[in-house]
Amino acid sequence: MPEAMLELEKLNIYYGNIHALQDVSLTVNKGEMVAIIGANGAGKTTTLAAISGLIQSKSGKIRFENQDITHAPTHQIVSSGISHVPEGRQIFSSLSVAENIRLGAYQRRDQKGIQEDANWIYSLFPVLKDRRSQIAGTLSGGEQQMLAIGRSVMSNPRLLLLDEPSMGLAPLIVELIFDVINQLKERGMTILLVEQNAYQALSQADRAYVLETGRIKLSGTSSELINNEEIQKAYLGG
Amino acid sequence: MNGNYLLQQLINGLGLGSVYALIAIGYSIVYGILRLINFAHGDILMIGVYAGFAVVMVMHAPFLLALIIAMGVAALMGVLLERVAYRPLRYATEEATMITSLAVSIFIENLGIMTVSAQPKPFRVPEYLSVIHNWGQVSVSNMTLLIISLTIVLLLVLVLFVTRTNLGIAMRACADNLNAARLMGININVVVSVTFAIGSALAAVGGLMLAGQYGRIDPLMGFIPGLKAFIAAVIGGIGSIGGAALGGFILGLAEILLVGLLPPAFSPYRDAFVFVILILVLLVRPSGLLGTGEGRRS
Repeated sequence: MPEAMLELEKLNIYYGNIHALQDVSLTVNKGEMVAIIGANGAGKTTTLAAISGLIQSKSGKIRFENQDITHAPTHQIVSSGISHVPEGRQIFSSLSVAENIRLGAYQRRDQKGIQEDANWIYSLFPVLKDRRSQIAGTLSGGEQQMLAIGRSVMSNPRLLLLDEPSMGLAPLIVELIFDVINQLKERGMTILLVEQNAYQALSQADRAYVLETGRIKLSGTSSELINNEEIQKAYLGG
Repeated sequence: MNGNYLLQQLINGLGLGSVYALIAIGYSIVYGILRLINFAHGDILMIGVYAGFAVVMVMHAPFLLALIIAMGVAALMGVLLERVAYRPLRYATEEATMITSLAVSIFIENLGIMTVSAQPKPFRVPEYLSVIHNWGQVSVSNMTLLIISLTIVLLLVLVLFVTRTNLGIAMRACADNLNAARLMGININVVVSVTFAIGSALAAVGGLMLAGQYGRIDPLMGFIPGLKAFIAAVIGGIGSIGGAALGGFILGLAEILLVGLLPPAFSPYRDAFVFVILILVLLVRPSGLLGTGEGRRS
């Protein structure tokens, strides 16, 4: 019996009059990589923003490791063990690479562990190490994505939310990024991944949910979905 | 006109510029994070100065203690102001928060008039600060030396704070990207409170220096210096700490030099010069000298 780490139960979110998420329920089990796929505007980013408390839901529940975090402020959600790599990277572009990494560990006080994790991030992404003192806004898109992931991992999360990590990146860089994401998973991190690139997502994740205009339309293991005719037509260009 | 005269004006300008710089930083760091123009900033300064005045005049405490008390009281008032007046409007439009800050400013000024009366009160600094050194034909008071050196020290401490400490780096992160800062686990409310505390404490130092310079204080004393420091912050590029300091020094120097070098008939237009400088700078650099040119937060 898999152990549920994150549970969303009938989550409803509105932007003014727009019903952005409608009764969205999903589960992420410990150790899994779960993907949410869907078109632009389907509510994928909204789902992640709701989990990390950036957006408040109108109704429904969010539970993380059996704790109700539905109305917890973001800084408490981070300290409970969730880290979020936001859409469009959102690195601190006027700060140095090292300062970005340091802020990822903002709530931690174990200097030794922080240093070890920073070294580990720099070994995953050696280019970041070379550019430690560079202003982050001057990095290339791929390097910024590496920094966004590295920064996020510095909080030592048990659940990592990844929003479109492949967006706008060259195929080679996408491969590198997903290679690191798989290493994170092997290290024991549970991953909830949002992707517009459905093929990329389904080839990496264990399971996936298909979000369509704010509703969960389908869910299943990646191999089930990848062979589903409807999915192939709508999302895989088949 | 000779070199000594120019040097004298430069020193006076640095003194005034220091005061503007100290006050301008508060406008800039608050705007950087909240996109809020806190027009009550000058009035917080006034409250701090009155607190300092009280300990000096009533308790005959040393000037240094007055400085610390003024900073502490202003910091507390700044934090309180944000908590009561601005936090409920955190997600309101910039226009709404700006109008609110004007309302708060008028409220504090009138509260001041009601409680301590509009009558200016004499503010005497200790003897040792009134000592004037005559170096050739240039004369400098200890007060001016204190203003300039204290400002430099405080600016250095601020720079160390925002580059070396977690909280300081978090402050810069909040100004850079508030949502991303939340995702780092930064408690935005703590950072905002610290920002108001720092800005208000620095403004109180500036206010106390003005009080020492002019020898009197009144409940409206924060208004004009506050307005000029706001202009200094805009000239330097509002949101930038370095810009606020630079804008303050430029404005102080320009104001003194223009008054000192132009014929005396121009002296009454002293405050108008400030606005002329603002307009000229904004014509060339619309987002200020060190501004990043970022648009308004949507």
